Amino acid sequence: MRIKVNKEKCSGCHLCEMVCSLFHSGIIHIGKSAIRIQKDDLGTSLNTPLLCRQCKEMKCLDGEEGVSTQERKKFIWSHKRAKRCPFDALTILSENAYHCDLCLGNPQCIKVCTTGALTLSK
Amino acid sequence: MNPIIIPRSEHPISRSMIDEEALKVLYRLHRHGFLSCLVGGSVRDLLIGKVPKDFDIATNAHPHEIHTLFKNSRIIGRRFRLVHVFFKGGKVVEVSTFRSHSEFEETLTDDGEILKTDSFGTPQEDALRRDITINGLLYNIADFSIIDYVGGIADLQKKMIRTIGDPDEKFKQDPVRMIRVIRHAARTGFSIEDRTYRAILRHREELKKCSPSRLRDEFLRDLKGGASKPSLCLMFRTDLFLSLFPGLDRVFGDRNPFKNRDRDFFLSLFTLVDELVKMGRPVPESILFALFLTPVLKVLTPEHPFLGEKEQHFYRAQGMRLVIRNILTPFSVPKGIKEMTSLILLVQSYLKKAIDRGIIPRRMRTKKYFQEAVLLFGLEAQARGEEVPRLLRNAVPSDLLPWWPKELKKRYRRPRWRIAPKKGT
Repeated sequence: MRIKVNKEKCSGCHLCEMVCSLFHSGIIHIGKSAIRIQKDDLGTSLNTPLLCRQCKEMKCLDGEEGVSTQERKKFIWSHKRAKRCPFDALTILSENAYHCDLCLGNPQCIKVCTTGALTLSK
Repeated sequence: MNPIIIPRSEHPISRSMIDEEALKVLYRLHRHGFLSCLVGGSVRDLLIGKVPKDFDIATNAHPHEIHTLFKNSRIIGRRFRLVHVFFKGGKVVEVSTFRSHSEFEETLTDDGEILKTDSFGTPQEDALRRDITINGLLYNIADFSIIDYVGGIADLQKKMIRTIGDPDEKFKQDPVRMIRVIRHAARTGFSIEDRTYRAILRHREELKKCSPSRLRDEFLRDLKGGASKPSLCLMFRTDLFLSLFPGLDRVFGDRNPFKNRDRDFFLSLFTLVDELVKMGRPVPESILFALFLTPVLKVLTPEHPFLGEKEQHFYRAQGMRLVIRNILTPFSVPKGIKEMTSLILLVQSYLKKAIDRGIIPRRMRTKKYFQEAVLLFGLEAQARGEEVPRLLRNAVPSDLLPWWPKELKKRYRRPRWRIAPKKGT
């Protein structure tokens, strides 16, 4: 199960960021959300939601052996893993990185995304 | 168990202190051979010297018997039947039959099913089912004496709040009683008995098991009662507040390094609510929720660091709505009140802008929520020790903000033309 992103449809409302941090940490904080909206540098209206792609071959765990399934599903990871991600998908805040745990099977960002930019694919 | 009976000569309750309609009901029941007593908070208030809000009557007559005696009455309630006797001017006197257990206690049958029958009992059982001792007193109209089965008189003299029976058992049966104990302690200024206090600390987490709508109603009664500040203080001291709102741990709990500052601001807001209630001005529920959420939103919805001014506004509005929904929805707050609360809180930034600009647009003044938004603005300003600008004061009725009377600008009048007196006259 992963969250599929259609960046053309994203309006850049930041609701997904807010709901993610509120669901996991009880506070609205863009640094503590597993999803983040990146605005285009050229000033166009293109917004790109960035979040963990749930890769089958997890490059972020390279060099670590015997990582348990429980550890892989955690929301707060170490920032070292985020640096290994080839898509730069995880949010880093000081020593922590925030990784999408799919809200225990009921992703909140998909619930609030009214434009349909975020969908669930199985 | 023998009750302590205090004769008329030894207590201060006179019939002139009791409502005329309540006396009428008491006398008619007594004349027809029933035992009729004034019960609950009204007896307590009369003994303390306060004016009771309502007069509850308990009798050994069954609901249908009461209904036959009073044509102007209606039987209400599904599980526990009560009779409401209606009088002119919209006055209602509640008459109940003596019961053996509380409405919210669940009595199980041998098969483990919840017993759903009316459980009429004796006056003694009725006194014992109540939550605290000072509420368990009965005023008998037959000989004008006070009947005390639970030691309420002694606790009134000692100025102490104590549960009737074992506090652990009482709080397990119905955890909402903990909030009630705190409310009574705050309203009367009495101290909570040590055993009861320790039981609250032990059972506070059981509040989560209660029905959210009952918790909401009890909490709102706390806020509206005119003693919300001492009540909230006690709730903070016993940590009952964080058990009731676990999501606010980030604001009022140890996770917030400035928790003392935020708590003080929160309490100062409710001190003003108490002042308003004492002035006889009821505060609407939407304002109470908005006040409750003001310090919460300040902590939980920080600004986005990379957004422009317009986007920032939408971001803040969305964040506020999310947090409000998150906190109020579990307590099944009606949608209308939730919407009103959100609007009042959202319009605060517009109000600030309008004040800076020096004009309040007509489209804002004609909104339904404008007066409530100004009241919230005024309460916040007063809590911070600031002044509300004259511009805002003059846009609302003069009694809305009692701390700042309306100052009207003197209307400019063109000087009258004077006809110069003719020469030689």
